[in-house]
Amino acid sequence: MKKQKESFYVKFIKYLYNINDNFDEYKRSEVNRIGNNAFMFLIVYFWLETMSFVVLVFSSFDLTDMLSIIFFSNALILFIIMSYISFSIYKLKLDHIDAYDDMDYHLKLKKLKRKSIFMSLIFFIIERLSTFYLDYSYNTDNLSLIQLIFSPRANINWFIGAVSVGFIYYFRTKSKINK
Amino acid sequence: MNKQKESLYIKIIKHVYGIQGYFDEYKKQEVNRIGNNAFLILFSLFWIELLATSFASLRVDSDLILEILICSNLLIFFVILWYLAIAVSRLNLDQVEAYDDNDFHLKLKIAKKKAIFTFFLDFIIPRIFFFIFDLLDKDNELSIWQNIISPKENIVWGIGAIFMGFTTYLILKSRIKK
Amino acid sequence: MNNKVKIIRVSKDMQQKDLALKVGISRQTLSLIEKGQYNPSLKLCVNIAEALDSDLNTLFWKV
Repeated sequence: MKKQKESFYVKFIKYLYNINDNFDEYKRSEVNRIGNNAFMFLIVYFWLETMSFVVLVFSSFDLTDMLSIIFFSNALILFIIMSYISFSIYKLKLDHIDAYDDMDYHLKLKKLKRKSIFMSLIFFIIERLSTFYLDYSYNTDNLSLIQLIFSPRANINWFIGAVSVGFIYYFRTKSKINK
Repeated sequence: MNKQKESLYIKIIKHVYGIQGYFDEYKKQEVNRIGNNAFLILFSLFWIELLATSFASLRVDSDLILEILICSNLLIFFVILWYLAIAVSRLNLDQVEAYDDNDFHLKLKIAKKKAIFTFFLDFIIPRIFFFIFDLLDKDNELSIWQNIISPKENIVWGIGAIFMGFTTYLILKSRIKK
Repeated sequence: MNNKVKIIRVSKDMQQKDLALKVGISRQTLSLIEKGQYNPSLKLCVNIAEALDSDLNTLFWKV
């Protein structure tokens, strides 16, 4: 059977739900169910958050404190939702990959290695950009732009972090390939 | 066929999506698809908002960030609700089927009861909301009792609630298909 | 996916609303199934076959 080229929509769903293999009818219906449940939870929280903003803004609360509360509660909700999605995907084994024979298994391992390296690279770039922005904003040591970009300590730290992420992703996904 | 008692989960879904009548497998499938799409949009925007807020707070005033957050949250909320309404309406998931004249009149009766319930809801909830709002407002010098029985607030929200109840009835009636 | 649900239903002199009520789905869903615009689950196919006093092959196989 010819493998159809996946649309961006399908790729995005597979990325968000960590689905690695064919996105078939069963996976689609389960993903839709999980996504709908997560949506119901998120929209209720979103509505409550927006309503409380409007009320609290006109009260005598300190705005910086309010911003911190909002930031932490949003982060907590995102963590809860991501945990729910991960747990649901894990329970239904939607992230498993089927290898049909030895050759297919080795091919999938090869693709996984490439993907892990790519993920490490993306992780390194994103984290370096974020920490560069933070260092630039809080530049208490008055370092120049070049010094901030080529900082050995930051680069080595995040390089080690990126390699760890790559390894963890590789071994975790490898364990999900069913021979 | 015996109509099974609906679970709370299904009642919530029907309420959120404005679905009436049988919640069969087709409606369930479409609702799940619409909900998942809405989740993808909302989740992405939520992440962007979180990251943008945390980075912007280092350089911009808290007041400005809060104002932008409120406006963007309201906008996102209405965009999502609009998407849900359009998607449900396009697939006619909100239509109610009346099998004969008796069934039609029964469903009209249910629509009237829902409209009256909407009237009460649209009166009580905004009144409570603005009551809390007035209590927290530093410029408001009225007592709690004066805030509760304020004729202006009660009349304004009463008229609004009647309008909403009447509109709800007309919308529900238009969805009943003979 | 095309099927013979409408043909069999009409041959039994049954209206769409009656079949929908008997099976436990909305008329809209039944209409979509008959037009081939919605693929019902196996469970629903069996329920439709039972309601029409027919079988899956007659209704759904290679139309």
